[in-house]
Amino acid sequence: MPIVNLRPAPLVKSGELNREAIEHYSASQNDPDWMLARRLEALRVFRDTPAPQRSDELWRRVDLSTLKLEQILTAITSNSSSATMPAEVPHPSSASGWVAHVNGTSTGTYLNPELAQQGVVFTDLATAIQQHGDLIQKYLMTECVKVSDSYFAALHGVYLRGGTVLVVPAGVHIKEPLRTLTRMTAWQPDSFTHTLVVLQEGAQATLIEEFTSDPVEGPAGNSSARPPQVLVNGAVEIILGKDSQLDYISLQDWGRNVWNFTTERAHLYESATVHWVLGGLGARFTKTLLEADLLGPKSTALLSGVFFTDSKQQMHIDTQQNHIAPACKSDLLYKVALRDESRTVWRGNIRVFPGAQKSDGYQANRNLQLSPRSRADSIPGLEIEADDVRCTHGATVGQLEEEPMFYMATRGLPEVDARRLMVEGFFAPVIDRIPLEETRERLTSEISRKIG
Amino acid sequence: MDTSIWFEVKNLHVSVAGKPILKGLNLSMNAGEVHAIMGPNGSGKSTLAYSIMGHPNYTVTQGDIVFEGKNVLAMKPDERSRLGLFLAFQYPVAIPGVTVANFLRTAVNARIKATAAAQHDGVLPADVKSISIPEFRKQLRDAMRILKVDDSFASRYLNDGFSGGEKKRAEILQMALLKPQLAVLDETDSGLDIDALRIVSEGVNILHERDPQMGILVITHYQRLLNYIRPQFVHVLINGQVAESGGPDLALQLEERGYDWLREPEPEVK
Repeated sequence: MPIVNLRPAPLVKSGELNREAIEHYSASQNDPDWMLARRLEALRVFRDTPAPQRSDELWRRVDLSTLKLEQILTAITSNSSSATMPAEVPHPSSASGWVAHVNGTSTGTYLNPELAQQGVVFTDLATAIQQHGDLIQKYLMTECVKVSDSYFAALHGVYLRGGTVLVVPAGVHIKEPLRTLTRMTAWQPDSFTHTLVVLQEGAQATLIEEFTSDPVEGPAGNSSARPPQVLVNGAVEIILGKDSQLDYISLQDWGRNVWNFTTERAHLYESATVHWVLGGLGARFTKTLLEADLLGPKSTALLSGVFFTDSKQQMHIDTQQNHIAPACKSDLLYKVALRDESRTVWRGNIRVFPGAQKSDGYQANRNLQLSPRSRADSIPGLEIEADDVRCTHGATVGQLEEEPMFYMATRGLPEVDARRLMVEGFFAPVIDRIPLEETRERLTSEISRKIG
Repeated sequence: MDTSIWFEVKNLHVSVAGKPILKGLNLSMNAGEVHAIMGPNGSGKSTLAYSIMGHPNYTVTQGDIVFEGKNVLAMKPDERSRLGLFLAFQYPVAIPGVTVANFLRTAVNARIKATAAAQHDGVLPADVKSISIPEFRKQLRDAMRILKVDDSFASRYLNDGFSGGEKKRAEILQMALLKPQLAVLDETDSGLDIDALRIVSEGVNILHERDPQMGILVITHYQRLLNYIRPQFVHVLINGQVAESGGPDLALQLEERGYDWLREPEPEVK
């Protein structure tokens, strides 16, 4: 069945998503010329890209029939510069640096002067586009995430706004984690947040990103109003030069009116290492495409994930581990807990390209079903075109077991506490990989709050 | 109900998956006493332990369990625990991802809250505080010393990858922190070498010295545990009933003679 609302034709016909509208949008962002040109090119690609179809394997299990994309895009085009700022704008604390955004607009950045002196760039996307254009236009949606990737990547290329740029020069090691906080107020219609990380040869850094929405409340006197749909269409680009090392932690806790489409990709050159923790708790609907491209020999991608859904949340996570060069290692562990009538689909693929001998690839997806009405699908896949490789996968769907629950009860734990411990314990091996205690605790307490 | 008896199991019948295991078991204990339940495999020893704690797969078809005048059978397992009953499992269950310290602190706090709520008609007063972290650490360290386990024990995932001996020490460690009134020790000696057996038994004895009012029900197949934890009363369980009760001598007698002399002769089939 075709997905009616996602065909690009009606959007263009409505007169909103055309050249003039994007020029206007670009002007509101104070874009330099090259950025305007990028947006218009993205627009051209977007118009030529068919909307997701259920006949496409990637979208087969996804129902977008209730997404009102055209309405959302109309609201963006007419609203782009009128974001209402909340009175209080907290920012994360970090000795190395932080970037904070509300509704796609930066509300402050900090970078330790010593790091700035060493040539580190860590700032909000708008500032990076305006002040570091020469440095970043080489990378921004040119080699890692491209507008030609998909319908949503193209749409992102048109509107990208807000986000974080980190460039670490060769040999610089940043010890304390850098942090970002990206926040939406309740009635903001969209986020097109973009993260670009470039580590040059031998550089090391840790970046922790948190994405949140303010709780949705109806407008005064009309608390029963349903919040409008919100579109998050983000992208993450990670480019890791030879011998560089990145710890990247990204925690998503968007509001329950958010439709979240993100494209995230890492390019790893020789002997580079990424340890990538993806956390997903929020949003009504999520479709994330995450890919690690092992382009240089002996590069390593460790991919960890924590996902916890409730009510009628849906999360669709597609991962791709591409072994392109020989002697690389990839190791994925995604853990999913589901409550109520929520639904998750993980599709994971390890692809070993011809000539990528001595590849070592692993993927595991563990699902904990807390309610019989929830549904977790786990679809691992291997495509191997080299002969000297070691690739394995494992996927499980389990429930809370009776014996541990009884054991904990005999210690006086009420059922809700026992469930909380079981779920915390289920996630612990992944959460323990987050290098900042404050973030670990925040995530644990969010999980605990979700258990009720 | 007769409230003068501290702990009483009366005419208890329990079935597992429809099969009767306990067939009219009677047992009574006073506070502070140590009783031993002995018996051959399959006589219902572990069934008694699980039934006292309320395992959902053990169905009580008849009889009562009364503790300090309260009808235990009407309570859920967690309520029984907070009432003061404790079971050291024969096969402790692993809780992956949950550290010994986190688990015990959660359990101690659940007790504090439930006790406070029970004293205020089920409403948790706002001023109830969790155990302070220094106080908890102090208690945990003390218990770990008694059981001769390393400090790193606290940060390991509970029973996950523990050796047999570590699991049994972890059970008694929990007993030390939860301070039950009646502790049921189900085959605590199984899987222990002689040194571990001594440490675990001494741990139990130290806890009993600190709280002489605590009752202990030791379930064991072999007499050797009773050299360390000395019972005043020994009961022999055969085919779901107490076939014989006596003093400590009874255990020695069983060691020599086995259980067969206590079995009822099989009815003759003609």
